Amino acid sequence: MVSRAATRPGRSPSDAGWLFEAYRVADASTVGAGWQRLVLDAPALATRAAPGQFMLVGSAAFSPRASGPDYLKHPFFFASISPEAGQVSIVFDRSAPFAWEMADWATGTEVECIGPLGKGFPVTAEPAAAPLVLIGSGYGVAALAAALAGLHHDRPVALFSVGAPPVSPDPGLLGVTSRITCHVAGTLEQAWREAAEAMPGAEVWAAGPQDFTQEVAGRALGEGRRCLVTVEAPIACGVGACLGCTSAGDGTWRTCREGPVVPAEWLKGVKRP
Amino acid sequence: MTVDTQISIGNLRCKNPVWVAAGTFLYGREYGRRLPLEELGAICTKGTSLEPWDGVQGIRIAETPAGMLNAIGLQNWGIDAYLERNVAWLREQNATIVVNIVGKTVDEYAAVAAKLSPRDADAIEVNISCPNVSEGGVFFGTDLRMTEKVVDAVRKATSLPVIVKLAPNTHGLAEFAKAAEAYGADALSVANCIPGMAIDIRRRKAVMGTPAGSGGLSGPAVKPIILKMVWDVTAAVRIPVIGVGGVVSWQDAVEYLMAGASAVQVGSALFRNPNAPWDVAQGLEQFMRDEGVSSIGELIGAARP
Repeated sequence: MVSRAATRPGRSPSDAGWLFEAYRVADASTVGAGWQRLVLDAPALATRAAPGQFMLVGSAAFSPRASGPDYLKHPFFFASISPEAGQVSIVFDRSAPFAWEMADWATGTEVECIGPLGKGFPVTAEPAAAPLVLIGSGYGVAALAAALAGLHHDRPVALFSVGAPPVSPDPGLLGVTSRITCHVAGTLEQAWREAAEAMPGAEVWAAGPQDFTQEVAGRALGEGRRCLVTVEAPIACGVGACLGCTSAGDGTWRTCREGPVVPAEWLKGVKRP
Repeated sequence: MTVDTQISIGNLRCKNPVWVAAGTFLYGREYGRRLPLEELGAICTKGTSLEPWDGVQGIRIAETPAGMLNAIGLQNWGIDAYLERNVAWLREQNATIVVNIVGKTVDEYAAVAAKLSPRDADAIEVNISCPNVSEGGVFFGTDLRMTEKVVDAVRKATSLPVIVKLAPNTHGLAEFAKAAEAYGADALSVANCIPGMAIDIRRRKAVMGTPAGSGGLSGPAVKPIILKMVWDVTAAVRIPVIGVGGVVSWQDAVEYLMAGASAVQVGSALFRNPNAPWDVAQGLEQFMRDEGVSSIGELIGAARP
């Protein structure tokens, strides 16, 4: 099977590029229906992180419990990255199994993080001529909001949230350029139709649960569009050492290392468990 | 106070008794570019076979209370890739290299071992205990006669120190330890992951992607079990025993040493704390100073009657 390691150009943090540090929760708040947002004071991390990359987050104090997953750290996309403020944020579903402890983290809680990890969206790449559609579901909308904020080029961009977004993109962005629009759609079908009407032939970036991004990938490939999507796998080490997140489609890749943002073509033949 | 943390495993000399466990560290680059590999006792490479293996297709990781299940299935790129891509870099790091080898047949184990010269490895760890492959792996580690055959073949194929990584899921582990010793093992790693499983109650199926739906349990949850195995095995053999299972802190390492282990391997603790092996080594050294222990040998077996 073809290994996708080192086959994809783009942002590739060096092996020494990730940090292992403790950060303070600067703000913890419930956003959207059942979503929790944590803002972390993480100055060094904020200067290195890119949208679409992720970090592993866990409690600073390790105390094995009789129940509840608390041994491993858990992966989260960056929902916002602010080098100026020295902060990053994440959002997560308060009802997710891993959240049993995190949901109670308050301002001032010290947490441990490993990141930034993996390959993100090419936000700083040379501007492409084609417009860009960002389409997300659930936590993926947060990752795309970070991508939207990080885009350095002035191409027409439309962000679609399929279902209620856990966080809204920075309203200030809408004032930067009239080329950015944000939409909420009830279904992927609806979002796809609206996107096709507004921006025919647009490049597509998708983020969210893999059942969702896989469907986006299939649609984009069917229409011959350039498309990047996020992929999921249970993550243990996050740095490419344990091979626990190896996935196979058109070739094999470590989700934490060659992903989590991958070309849609890679998902051809992926079998979901 | 100066403390001597050096240990010997056969002809292998290690700076200290803190190693990293196979399968958690690949070939060292992912972690070793942050912290110096030469400060660790040794690194055990990813289990490496004669030809590349794809590993398990499907879910490979599941978190459990105080631990995790893995079902990697020994994915690796083969011994030739190891020799071409990794040896030179590892030698540049002054790492003490223990190459973990796997095979589907006795001949494959011997063939991998024969490809490793003293330039390529400082010792060989024979993995006869992986719970996640349908051929090889634990099959060799749960059948006494097969254990003997594999150890015998590897011993005859190499002059490097041979460490045999035993399976925890056997009756009479001491008998397997004695068999490995009798056929030329220089040391024993006790033990590999303990077979376990998890059920996805929404999908009504096993979580792990192996055909059997099972995986290997590691982490703090297994430490008391493996510690007892180390205690028992060290009483049964004369060769050094290396404790592998749930070491997340220097206190865990001290427990293993006092139970009779000559070294420990840190595994999945890396995933939570990438500095874990270095932290354990430093903590152990500080403990020796605090306790007035000048040589690591004073700790080995210290809790035994």
